[in-house]
Amino acid sequence: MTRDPRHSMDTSRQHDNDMEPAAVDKMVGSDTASGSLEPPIILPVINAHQDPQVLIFNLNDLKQLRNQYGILGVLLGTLSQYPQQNFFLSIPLRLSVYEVVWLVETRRGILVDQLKYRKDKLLTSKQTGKDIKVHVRKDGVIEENAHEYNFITTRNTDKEGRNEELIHEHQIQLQEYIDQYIVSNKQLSRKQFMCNYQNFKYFKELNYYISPGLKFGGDLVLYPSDPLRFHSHSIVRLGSIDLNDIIIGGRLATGVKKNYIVVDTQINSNEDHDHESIITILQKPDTPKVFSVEWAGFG
Amino acid sequence: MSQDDDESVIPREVEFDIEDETPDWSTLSGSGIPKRGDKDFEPDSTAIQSQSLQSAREAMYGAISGIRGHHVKQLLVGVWIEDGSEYCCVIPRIKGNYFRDIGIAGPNNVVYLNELETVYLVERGSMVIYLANELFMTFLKEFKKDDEFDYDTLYPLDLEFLYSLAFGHGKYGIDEYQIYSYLKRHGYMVLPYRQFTTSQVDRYNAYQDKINSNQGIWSTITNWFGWFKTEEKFPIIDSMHYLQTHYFNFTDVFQSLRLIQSYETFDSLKSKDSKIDDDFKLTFNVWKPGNSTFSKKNPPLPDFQILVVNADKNGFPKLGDIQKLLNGINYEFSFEIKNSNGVKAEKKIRKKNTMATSKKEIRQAQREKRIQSQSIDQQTRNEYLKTRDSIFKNGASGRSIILGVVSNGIINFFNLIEGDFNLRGELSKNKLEGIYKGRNHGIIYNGDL
Repeated sequence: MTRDPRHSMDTSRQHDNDMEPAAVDKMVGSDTASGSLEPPIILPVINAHQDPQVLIFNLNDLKQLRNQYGILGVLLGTLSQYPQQNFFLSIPLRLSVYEVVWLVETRRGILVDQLKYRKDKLLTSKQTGKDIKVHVRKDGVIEENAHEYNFITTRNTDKEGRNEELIHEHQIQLQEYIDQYIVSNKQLSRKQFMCNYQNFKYFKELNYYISPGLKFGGDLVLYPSDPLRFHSHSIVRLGSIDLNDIIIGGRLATGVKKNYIVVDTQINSNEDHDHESIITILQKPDTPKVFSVEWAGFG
Repeated sequence: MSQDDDESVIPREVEFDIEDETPDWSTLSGSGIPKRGDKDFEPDSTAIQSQSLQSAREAMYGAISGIRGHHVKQLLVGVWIEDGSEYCCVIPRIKGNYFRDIGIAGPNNVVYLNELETVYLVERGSMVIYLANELFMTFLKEFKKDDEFDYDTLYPLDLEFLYSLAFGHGKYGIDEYQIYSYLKRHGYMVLPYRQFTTSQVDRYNAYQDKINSNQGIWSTITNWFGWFKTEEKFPIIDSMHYLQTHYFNFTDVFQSLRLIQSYETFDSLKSKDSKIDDDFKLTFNVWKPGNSTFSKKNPPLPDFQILVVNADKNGFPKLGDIQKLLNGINYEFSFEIKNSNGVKAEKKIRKKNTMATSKKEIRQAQREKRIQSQSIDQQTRNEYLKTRDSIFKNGASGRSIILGVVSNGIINFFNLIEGDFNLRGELSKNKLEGIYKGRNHGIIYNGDL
């Protein structure tokens, strides 16, 4: 298998990927997103009206998210070269709800109702079945539009580029997305969600790389830099806990050579004030209180 | 227990599960089997570190930018149709060996797929998919075997569009798909959950009624007499009991103290309310890759029955939910299995394995040798303890459900089994009576063994 033809076709943002990692780390969390020249990344929302999920299919967007914004997400697709293992996975990239809110809030991404967007885009599309037939030469080079073809492929996304007009038409506002997420999520109150997000944002803006924490029984796992090259140091638990949780979490974290971090934020908003805009709450954050726990076995 | 005991259970060298880590893509070798790469503790702003990070990223991006597709010799074409039915994709001509558990046959050898199966096949590059138009729908209506269609006239769906279509209406979510594809990649055979055995509640109660009516009036009388010599000897009426009675062994003491009735396996089947909460409905029936008796049309009892839950959205199921779930699985009672050779047959198949002796087999042989060097009494005792422990842990019924827990894309599985600490139900009793006949199995006291 070989390089993807798509990769070389879309050259518009190619230069971004060659950035020095050191420079990358400096950019992450910098608050100058509004000064950024990049157009906001499209965050495709699947099932926007019931259970909104953001999946990234565009490889260049994935690179930009990781290299420039330190957003990891979780790959969930089958890697077609090695389809019988679960260790190395591929596109799509699933973003957590906190990653999505952070990207939109800092104007690095916009939410788009992908089903409607793609259905409307289809009306003007010139793509035909011929476009997915390619010729893979013996040396591995892929030729598109060749006279003969020997491979039939499925793209990650369409090759016709962004249609800004339709994007605008089907854009989903952050408030709408969060509201729908909370509705689909019986266990979570609005206030709790906002607290969790403030806690996430606190670590994000300290330039940590953040993964979901389910593997270690926490809410987040923090990495000092890209987890491709660095081990994690901390398991984070969001929100209130009791002494049992401290022992369980602290003991487990120590066992896997990490520390256990407990964090919570006080948000001064009344649960009854449902009409209070989420965006206003976002804009008046309080600094989270953070504690680090290590299990100490005397003896 | 001293503190030393407590700490000795913590492994000194922590063993990591490789799947718990972010993979180092530069170790992606020819086989796709991961190796444990060496990672750094923290960034130190050296050029060497940023170079290795860059090359790790390039390895990752290079791998995931690979072409997704297949050679035209294996051409497999599906067409996305939305006709409101249970299925969403039609394959006019099937090819390849993916269809052992995937798809359902339609007229004229066409095969219909559901959303999960469609996305799975396309994502691994084994099938391409087009969006149906009116021309195709007419073609499909009049389709006869070997009819051809010019797919070049259709719009080829890319993965993004396909996901939007497949998971955009709430029938299946991304969570279900992640569990489905995880199992499929490991070779399991997965079908959407369906109950193909009749209700456990009905069958169990019918059996109980049958037994009771067979026993007739004589047994009712003996049962009455039995009540006087029942195991529950706690003297409710006589407050002077302990002043007057002498006990000569611990088993009798424990037995006399036994106050609380505990749950017996299948007790929950006795109530006929079996409505299941919408939050917890089983999602998949799963068979092991090596299950040779599997067929799509007439599947054997599943090896696993899986419930997909989202850790952020669903709480842990309540006791009532768990009981209802267990009562709702596909299950065969031991009294229904006609030839009791089931277990033996399974063992035979295992022995046929012609692979070179594995470490596991060597260990097993060593264990058997060790067991044979013990006295008969010792062997029986150990077997009894082992069987009893297994009943505590795994229950006696063999009923279990697997919870596939998803949170923000991370998957975990765990197994919910009804353990049996009571040991006096019919199932446990049968197993233990075979080893020590007439013992009071419900009393967990080993001094008399």
